[in-house]
Amino acid sequence: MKTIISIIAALLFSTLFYGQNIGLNLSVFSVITIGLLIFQHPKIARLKSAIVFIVVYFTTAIVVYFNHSALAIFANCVAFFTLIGTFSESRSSIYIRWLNGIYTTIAAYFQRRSDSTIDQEQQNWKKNRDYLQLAKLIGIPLMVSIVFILMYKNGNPIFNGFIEKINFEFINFQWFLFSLLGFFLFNNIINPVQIHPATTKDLQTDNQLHPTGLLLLDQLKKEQQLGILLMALLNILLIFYSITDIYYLLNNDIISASALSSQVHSGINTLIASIIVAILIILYFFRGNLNFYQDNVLLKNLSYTWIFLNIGLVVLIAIKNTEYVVVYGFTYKRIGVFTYLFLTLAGLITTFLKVRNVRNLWFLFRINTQVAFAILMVSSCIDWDHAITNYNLKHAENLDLNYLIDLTDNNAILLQDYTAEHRVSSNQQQRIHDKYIGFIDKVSERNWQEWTYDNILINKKFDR
Amino acid sequence: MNVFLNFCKSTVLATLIFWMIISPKSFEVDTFLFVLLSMIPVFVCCVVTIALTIYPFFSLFETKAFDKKAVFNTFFPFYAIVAFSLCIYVIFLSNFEFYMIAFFTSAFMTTSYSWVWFSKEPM
Repeated sequence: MKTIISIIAALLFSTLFYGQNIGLNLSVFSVITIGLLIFQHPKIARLKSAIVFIVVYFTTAIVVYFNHSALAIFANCVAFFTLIGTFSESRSSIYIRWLNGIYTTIAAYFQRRSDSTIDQEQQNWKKNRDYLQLAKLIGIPLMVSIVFILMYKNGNPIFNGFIEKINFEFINFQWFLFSLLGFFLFNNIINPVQIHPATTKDLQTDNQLHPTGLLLLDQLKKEQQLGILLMALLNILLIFYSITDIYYLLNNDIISASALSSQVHSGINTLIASIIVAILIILYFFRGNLNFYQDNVLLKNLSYTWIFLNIGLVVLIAIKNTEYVVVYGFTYKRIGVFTYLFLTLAGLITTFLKVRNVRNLWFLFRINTQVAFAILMVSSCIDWDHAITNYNLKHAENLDLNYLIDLTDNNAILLQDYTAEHRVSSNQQQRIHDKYIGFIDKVSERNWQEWTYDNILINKKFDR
Repeated sequence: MNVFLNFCKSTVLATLIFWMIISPKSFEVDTFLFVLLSMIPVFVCCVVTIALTIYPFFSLFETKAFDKKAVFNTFFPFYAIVAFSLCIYVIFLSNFEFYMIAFFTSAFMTTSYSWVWFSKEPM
């Protein structure tokens, strides 16, 4: 049954993807995958975590059709691996699901081959088979025939002509191999496998930190003294830095792009160093028994202060970046800064939770990878090229039109509409026109497998 | 462990996969000779790759308590993920060049099968 399903799925796979670009085909593939997984594993599909990831994967499939951006395709692939990993082991952490998902997709067949046990009857049959004789029967006549065919070809022009006429071009062998790849893929994902040591270890590890051995009070006291001194110094330093930064922010009307850019980037560098050091120091001191030491309140409070001061640093840089965006509009780098700030904020909050709730390092890994996954999924839902162009054309005080022209074709219609209503240089107008025409041509030439939402838009625009 | 048999089986498999992929582009009757000749460099590639990247796992880690199956279950998943990533990366670097796809597809499939063959051998 599974083989028949895999064969049908493989034929669909080659129909969807053979010689085609990404478009509607990836969305259809996602729906087929979801359908097959639910059909094959109905019990797992009813679990809450499976439902969540099915919805996420389905959403990314729709997003690929509407956005057609590299980020949307990447998010769809990540969601695919996560879903497969969920069907491998639904209780595991998200990074173990990724590993299981990737492993299942690329090598589940080999895992099953290794796991398969041959029964006695098959073993006897294998033993009784004379491999050498079989090789002789096939190999020797084949090789001798080929050598003689090659010799006779040179000796007789009619025979040569006959041999030359033999061709297998009527068989699309590459299509067959592509279908084989599809079969391999579906055969793998229909029966998900696990990376045993990693999955087992993950399931056995909880998020709670436990005391290790006896609490050596003298040693813990010394460690705490060092921690208090270090954290107090770092807090004072960061307070001083933040005050000077706020003063600078309030008393300087910087309008040049380079000055704003340098401010944001130096701020980001400071932030990166500060956050990494902060988290490492906190993790070092709260790695073990200091968490269970009764007099650790001061050290904990200093750590919380340090975390909140770093959150303040995040806010300061966010303000600078917003200023930058208001004047010069959005770019990918500026959006990247916001993303980084958001991730940092999540990292700091989870570190705070780790210390407060006495959690271990695995808790940080688990929760932060989930946050990263969520951010990727949410950000893939936005057509960034379109959003950047739309915002900059409407709101940016200093518009960099060349930057917008260099973005992908997703903003071609917006730019073309803009040139119809605004004055732009002839060079830019020409470039926008070329981009628009190129986009229309590209969209019009697509096969149904490559369709995206742009096809509907273009058809509507030209009333086809 | 019968390493030599593993080398031979891998050579045959790698040759078959490689020529199966490239055959629609360049296969004529004369090519049969090249198929046979190509087994020599393929054999060298297989010996080097298997001896350096697969065999050491079994020779170093296999014990009575930690059998071939356990070695396979512990190390193969990570080997497969790393090997697949490297193959995809090189194919991407080559701008999806046809012969590179053929070479690295056969390399990935052959090394994976080599793991399976090693894991299925008796102690």
